Amino acid sequence: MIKIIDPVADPSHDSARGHVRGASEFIDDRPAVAGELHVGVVFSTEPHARIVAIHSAEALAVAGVVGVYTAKDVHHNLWGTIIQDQPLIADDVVRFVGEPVAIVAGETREAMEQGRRLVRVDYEPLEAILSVRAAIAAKSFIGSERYIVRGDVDAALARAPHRASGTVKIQGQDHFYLESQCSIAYPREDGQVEIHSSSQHPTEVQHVVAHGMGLPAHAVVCVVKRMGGGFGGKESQGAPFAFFAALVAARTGRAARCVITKDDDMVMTGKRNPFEIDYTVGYEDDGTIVGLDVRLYSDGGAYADLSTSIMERAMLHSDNAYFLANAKVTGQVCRTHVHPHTAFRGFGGPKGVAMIENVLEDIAHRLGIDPLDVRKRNVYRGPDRDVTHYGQKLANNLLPELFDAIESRCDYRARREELRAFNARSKTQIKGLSITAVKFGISFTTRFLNQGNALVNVHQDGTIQLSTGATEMGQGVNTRIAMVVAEAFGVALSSVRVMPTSTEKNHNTSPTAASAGTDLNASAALVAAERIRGRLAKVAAQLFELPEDRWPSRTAGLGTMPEIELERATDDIVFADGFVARRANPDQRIAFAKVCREAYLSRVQLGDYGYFKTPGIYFDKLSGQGDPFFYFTQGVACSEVLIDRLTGELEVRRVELLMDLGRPINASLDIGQITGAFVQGMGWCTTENLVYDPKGLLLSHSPSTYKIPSIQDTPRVFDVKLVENLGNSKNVRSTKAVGEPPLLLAISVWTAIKDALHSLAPRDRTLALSLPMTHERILLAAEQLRASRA
Amino acid sequence: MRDAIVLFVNGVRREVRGDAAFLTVTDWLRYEERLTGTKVVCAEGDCGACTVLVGRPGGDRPWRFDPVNACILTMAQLDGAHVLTIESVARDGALHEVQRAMCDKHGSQCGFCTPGFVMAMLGHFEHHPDEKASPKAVANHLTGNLCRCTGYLPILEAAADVRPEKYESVVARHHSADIASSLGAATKDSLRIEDSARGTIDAPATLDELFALRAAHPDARIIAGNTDLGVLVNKQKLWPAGTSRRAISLHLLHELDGATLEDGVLTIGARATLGEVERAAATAAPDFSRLLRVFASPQIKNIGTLAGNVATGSPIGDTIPALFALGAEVELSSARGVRRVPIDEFYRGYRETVMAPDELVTRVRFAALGDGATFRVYKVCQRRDLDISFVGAAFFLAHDGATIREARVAYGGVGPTVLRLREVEALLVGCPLRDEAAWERVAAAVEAAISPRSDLRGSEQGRRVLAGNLARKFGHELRGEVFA
Repeated sequence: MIKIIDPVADPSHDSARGHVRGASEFIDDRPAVAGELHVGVVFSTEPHARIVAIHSAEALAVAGVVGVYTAKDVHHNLWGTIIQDQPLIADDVVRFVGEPVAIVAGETREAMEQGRRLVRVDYEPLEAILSVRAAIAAKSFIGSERYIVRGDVDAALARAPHRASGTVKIQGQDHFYLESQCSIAYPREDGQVEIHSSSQHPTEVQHVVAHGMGLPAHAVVCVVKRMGGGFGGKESQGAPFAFFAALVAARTGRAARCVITKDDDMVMTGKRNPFEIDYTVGYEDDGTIVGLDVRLYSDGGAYADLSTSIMERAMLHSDNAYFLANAKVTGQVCRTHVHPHTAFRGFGGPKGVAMIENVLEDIAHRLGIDPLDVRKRNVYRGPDRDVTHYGQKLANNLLPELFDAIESRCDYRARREELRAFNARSKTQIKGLSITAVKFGISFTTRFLNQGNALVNVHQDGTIQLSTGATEMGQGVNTRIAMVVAEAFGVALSSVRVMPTSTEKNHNTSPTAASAGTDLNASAALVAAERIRGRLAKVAAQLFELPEDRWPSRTAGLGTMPEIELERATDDIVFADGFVARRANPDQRIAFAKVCREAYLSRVQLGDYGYFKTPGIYFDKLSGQGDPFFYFTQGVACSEVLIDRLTGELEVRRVELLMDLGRPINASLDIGQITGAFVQGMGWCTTENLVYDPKGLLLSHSPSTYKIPSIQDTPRVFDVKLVENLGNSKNVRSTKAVGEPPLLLAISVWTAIKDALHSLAPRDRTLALSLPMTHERILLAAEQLRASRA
Repeated sequence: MRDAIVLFVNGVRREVRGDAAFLTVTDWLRYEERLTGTKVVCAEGDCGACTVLVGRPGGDRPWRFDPVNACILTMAQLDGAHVLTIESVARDGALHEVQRAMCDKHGSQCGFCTPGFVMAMLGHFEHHPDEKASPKAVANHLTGNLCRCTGYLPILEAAADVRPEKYESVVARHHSADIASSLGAATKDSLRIEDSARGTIDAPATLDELFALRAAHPDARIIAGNTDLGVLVNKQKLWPAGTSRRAISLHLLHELDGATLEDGVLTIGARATLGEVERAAATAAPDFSRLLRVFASPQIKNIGTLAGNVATGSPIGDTIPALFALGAEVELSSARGVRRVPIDEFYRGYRETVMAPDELVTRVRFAALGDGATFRVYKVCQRRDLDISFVGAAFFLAHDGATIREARVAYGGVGPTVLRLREVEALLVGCPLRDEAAWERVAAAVEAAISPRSDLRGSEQGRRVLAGNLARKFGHELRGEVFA
């Protein structure tokens, strides 16, 4: 039986007080230093062309323009997180509209902008590939085709009483982090450079800058205090902008600020990969899937970026919550001439999941069975149907119970009846209802990224500064890590401060991504904290034995006593409420700060460094088999939509959602992640429509044309609950990661639209929905059904 | 003639002249005053991260502080105003009630939108302290603020947790008669700000001066709310970096303030904000008022003007189909005199009007709806709120409850200008009001009469289907067939 976790008053985000006062410092809030320059990017207006000439004389003649830099100024021009195929500044060929061609530095923003406008580039256009299908036809690919296979899918399909095929077309999504890409570079002595960047991956910034400039890694420091949103868009794609600032700083010896406008950011940077997915499914009379043959193509854009890894996650999530006895999943990334697409919350997961949830919806419609029953028939369930198509057995599987719980909590059956009656009655509106699930694998599928390190410094007054490789983008990773460390020392949260992320304190860090920021970095911090706590416990054990006048604070100055030795049993020493005490005699206790002071005076190490790597995970990318995930975060959601058939307007009326987050560190922050991810996913499924011109220039490049959900779009009934699950003991504090998984539950809005439109369709007719279902697409789908019935 | 803008910022008097007077308000706050709590995201008034409170007297109105988008305001517009930024909200280290609620209810994640939300919420409670309990009312006042992190639920919970009775109003806390009189005294005379590189912005204090300037500089752009010009400038589409500008600001011309209903006619001054029109039209044309509610954010409605919307002449121009159907007329003035043009004769083509080079729109008028009149406006867009229309439509019907006697039908987004569909009107006259077959014929006539195009907001086909459907929908509504 599912139990709901009762809400408690959790600590607020560690920057909340600064945020609400406008006092939190973001990159462009940093005061300009003397002589600081403004850096702008001249980008390609052609999707694919040879650069014939770059004319910069006119720009250089503008008063206040300090320099114009091109590929010739880059030491080593190719970068890329997985495959080094992307120039930092286009060299002889441009491969997408928005690709950097020249960098302009100016004394003022006005001069820089004027210079940017006056740089002219002559192009000789080459043939451009601007769609997935065109790329397939031209065999324009990134990486090789990959497979995950189980059983004999051809035989299963041949045997199946029912078969259906279709295509799901999924568009991209702009991250629309509010703070656009930005970095400032400060030249430091002896050829060093210090970068302050809005980046999820300071180590990659360090490496890309070093590489591009021909510097050793130890000449570059990257500091990230916070980001005004990331969502994956600053995992890899922050690095070039940091490099542009660093390049200008190095060339001029002056600080250089590169702050991109929202319009330019949206044109230049990659999005969530568009996908086109072809599938054939075979199923029984009761809706049980017996075989699924699915081929996923993604639009990688012009360069590899993270697309191959994103495809891998899409393939690994093509099952979602459902057992596939026979499956063949094929994935191929296509190379086109648009901005290189990149990580976005959920990585490939949402695409695989949208496909299978769509397939289940169609099966239900064709068979005339309630879609919920089809899902429950297919859900992973032990003992025989709980191994994924890539061979990982589901431990701690709550999915069947979650389906049952949401069904009763949202009164599904009764509402289904009401809805049927409403749809029969209304001449202008239709309603749809849908429950979907998520089973999201936690861990980077690239094993070496699953490591983290942390530095914990305890000061003599008992306050603690800690630093990890995690970057704060609003998700509250710093607050969670601080809570884990505060709990370890038994001190108030206010005693712990998480310091800006910096590559000089934490080396070789992984990006804050894959929802794993807290898991990896809190685990590492806990390793360090526990070592320090072990030493402090020994100090305390000895202090309990000594009269206070013989404590180091009374004697160390004159050196009249030997130092505290560290060989005391500490089994009964506890750290709680800001004190160190004996379990047997809780009244005998010493303030934590005092123990720290005594420890210092006894030359006991008060700082430490922790390292963590996720145990027991492996994935053979070539065979498509393994245990890639440490565990799974699971959840279900029920969405109800109301559609105006005459206008296509959509209202998401009611959403109920249940998530299993293990034992949450901070349930309130987790719920904020859930509501945020869900609404962001809802935007992807409904209103966020990327429109390109025939050259691949993004036309919807600002909020006047690219519509992320507004406060009015938040479902009026929006009930989010966490379920109790104490069984994830292998993760730090038995918690589960939350960042990405709830985004995938917004697919229930998309399938609810399908459910509504299916009410207008005969059983033999299913609707091929594209994603997003904009109001215009809903309108035209409803109109088609109306016309076909008339 | 003055050469400096005079304003108060967070209670401190400032004079701004020369180069700095040409900045956007956000650039001035952030880079000149080092008040970096006010953020810029879109630079087009669509996200609210730049929200500040601007206090000003409105003719005979008392001082009031309203949230506005600082990113598209030019400094001249703050002449005589008192601007409050996020930095003024907490006092002596103690959080304001709104800030406390945003912290406690986890209304802030990355923090970039947060100052804007706090300011918008403060502006909301300033005028509607009783509406905190209604999430709908709160949401209506926060439509102009985008957040990408929270999904808004925690922000709505924060707003519900605010107890406005616990703090004094913004005007009481930050403003004083001294500030008002200091600003009043300093901004009586007309203003000219000039810079050798940046150009000239004039702010005449009398209509005569205005008409003289207009005649002398037909190429000058008129600044009322600046909500359109500000975007063009920020996006380097008008007066790009390194070029010189010429503009005339109406901010000292209080003769053009306000929207008043007199003898059954609503007269809307060129400086009347969309928000003022929304309030003034609530009884005169309720559906027009309802349109304005979703038409723009509070921040835009507090500064953007209806006259500006009319003069800009966008073919979508959300208010314009409505004004066509209402039979509005546009008052054009110059040193030569005043003339009134029916709005459906005002537009000549795509963003082209009948205005002479020396003329300006000084007022817009329409008659309040009487008995036996039904007026309905539709605006359909990608996102219901704060989005530019895909298609807009407006219907005016005079009838006796059964038969239509007179009809005006106008559509936006389906041609180079807003279209008045006279052939559809002719079809309607004499028709039974609630006859389904008649409305089906009307829908077909609408589809035949329009000439939509495909653009980034949608396809030609989608626009055609929708245009017909809006007529069908109106028919359903007249028959009482829309529910839920």
